Amino acid sequence: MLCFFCPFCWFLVLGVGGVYADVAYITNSGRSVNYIKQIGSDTFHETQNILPELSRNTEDGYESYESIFSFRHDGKDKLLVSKHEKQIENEVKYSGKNTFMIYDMQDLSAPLASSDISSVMSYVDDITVFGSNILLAGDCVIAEINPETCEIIDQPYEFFDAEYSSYYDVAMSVHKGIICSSSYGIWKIQ
Amino acid sequence: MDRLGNVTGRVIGISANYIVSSGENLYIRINKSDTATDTDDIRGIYMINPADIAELEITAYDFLTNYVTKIAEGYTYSLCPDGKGGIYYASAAEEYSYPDKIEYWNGRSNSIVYAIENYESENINSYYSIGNLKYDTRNKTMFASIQEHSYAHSSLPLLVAMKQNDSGIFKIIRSLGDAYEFDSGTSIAIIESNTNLLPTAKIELLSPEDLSPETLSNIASELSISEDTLKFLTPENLSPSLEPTRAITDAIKQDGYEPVYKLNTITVNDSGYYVFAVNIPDELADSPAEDVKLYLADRTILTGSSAKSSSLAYGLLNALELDSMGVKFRTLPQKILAVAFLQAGQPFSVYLARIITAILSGGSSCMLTGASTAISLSLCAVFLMLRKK
Repeated sequence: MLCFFCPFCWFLVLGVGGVYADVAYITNSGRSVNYIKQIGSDTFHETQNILPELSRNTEDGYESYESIFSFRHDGKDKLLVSKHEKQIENEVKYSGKNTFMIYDMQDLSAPLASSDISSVMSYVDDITVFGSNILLAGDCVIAEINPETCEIIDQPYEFFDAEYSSYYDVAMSVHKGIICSSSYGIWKIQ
Repeated sequence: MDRLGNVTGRVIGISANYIVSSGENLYIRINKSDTATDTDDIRGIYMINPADIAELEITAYDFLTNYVTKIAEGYTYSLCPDGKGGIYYASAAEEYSYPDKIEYWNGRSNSIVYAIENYESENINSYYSIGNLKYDTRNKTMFASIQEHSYAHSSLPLLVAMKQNDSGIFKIIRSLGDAYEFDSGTSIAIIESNTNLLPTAKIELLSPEDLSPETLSNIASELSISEDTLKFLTPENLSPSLEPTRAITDAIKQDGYEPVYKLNTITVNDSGYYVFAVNIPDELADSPAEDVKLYLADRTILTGSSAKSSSLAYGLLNALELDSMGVKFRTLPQKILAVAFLQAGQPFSVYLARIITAILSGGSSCMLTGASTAISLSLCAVFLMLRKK
């Protein structure tokens, strides 16, 4: 029964009524990861850096955040963020190390886990969940990681083709199997 | 792993380079490569059902002609699902043009065109392009990066939030800052939670009438608009390029305020108030109460600890923007005359006392902190209803 004298009942009346939907948006601007909160239908609050802003320049090149993905695991909202290093030699950019980090959304002070992914995956263009694990689609390679430890379980699908080694979009979707498209083909994984 | 088709080069010289899942279908964007020799125009977005082709080994030509449905032709980019089986995608009118409109496929038949209505460049010789579409199905909000191009240069792209009006046109409702890298550097993750990540902040609340002529002039100059225009800015005509800058910060300082930290929020409500939220560094989180003040024009209307002012700042933003959301409150406060402020842990009777005090003192808006957003807003609703009566 609602008593209407305590704030909790007003919360039920007005809050649960759907007027104040509470949704958070995590955005990645390449060099930083920001947080935007939306309350209601079109009210946005400005971004706040929630992870340290990356230095664009390092000794050998630069680094940036590449991809971002939110997921729920073990009853908690978590964030998967990839950090990408690029090396520059003689004004030519070379892909460097990718580091993936998993954060607890309630505590972004330090990652829960992290791991380095093969430098072959220089660009991760899509992330999705397959079963209980996370699949990363990158530069003609798909890696499977553990959502708890961030460790690579397997790197089973390689579409790398020397002739078409472009890192142009690689994306995938989970629907009755996985279908991947890359710059040089369409594939189905069973 | 079954190889469905080596689409590029070998047969017809195209590349398939984007795929999304929406409902029962998958959508694949295919671009004809520059070296293509085939005369058929196969650029566009194609819809397939994976179940239809599960056991087939088909050539790329068969794949495109017999097992997919073309839903969009031409120069398409950045597709994203709508959560109901359809997709949104950006498109360009012709080759070498920038994608400058958003189109929609409902998953069954017609493609409906939506344009972004209110993004107009001040430079008639420049163009804008749209990318990185991301649709929030829960709030029916489209995110995208918008970049302005001219013959001389391209601007840094902006991350914007858009909603459709009654005519189905996407209108930009907020510019959310630099997207920085247009093609691949921006991604958006949407989580539905009550995660408490509110920044520690303080607020500077100003109205155009409260600003000095010099400040107005500085802001107008910064925004490259006339001072008259500045006075009548509304959310509807707010330029997406409007961003807080050092110049605005300096202008506020000249008016006697102390926004000594990074200015990170600007918004305008229907009455023309400007709300500036200023970050406070983490090291001040445990600082004395005097560290954070809430200003209305030249009056300090609230002083509190930075930790409390975090929710305080957002509470005020919520209260001010309720009306622009068109939710419940038709009477927008002309001034924040009274603030009901509660420290966490105080009994509910204190809430009521604060509200009554605020009403008796002529307050026309309210803000409560120390409780959750929902509770604060609920109590604000009570306050405003009582005030209206």
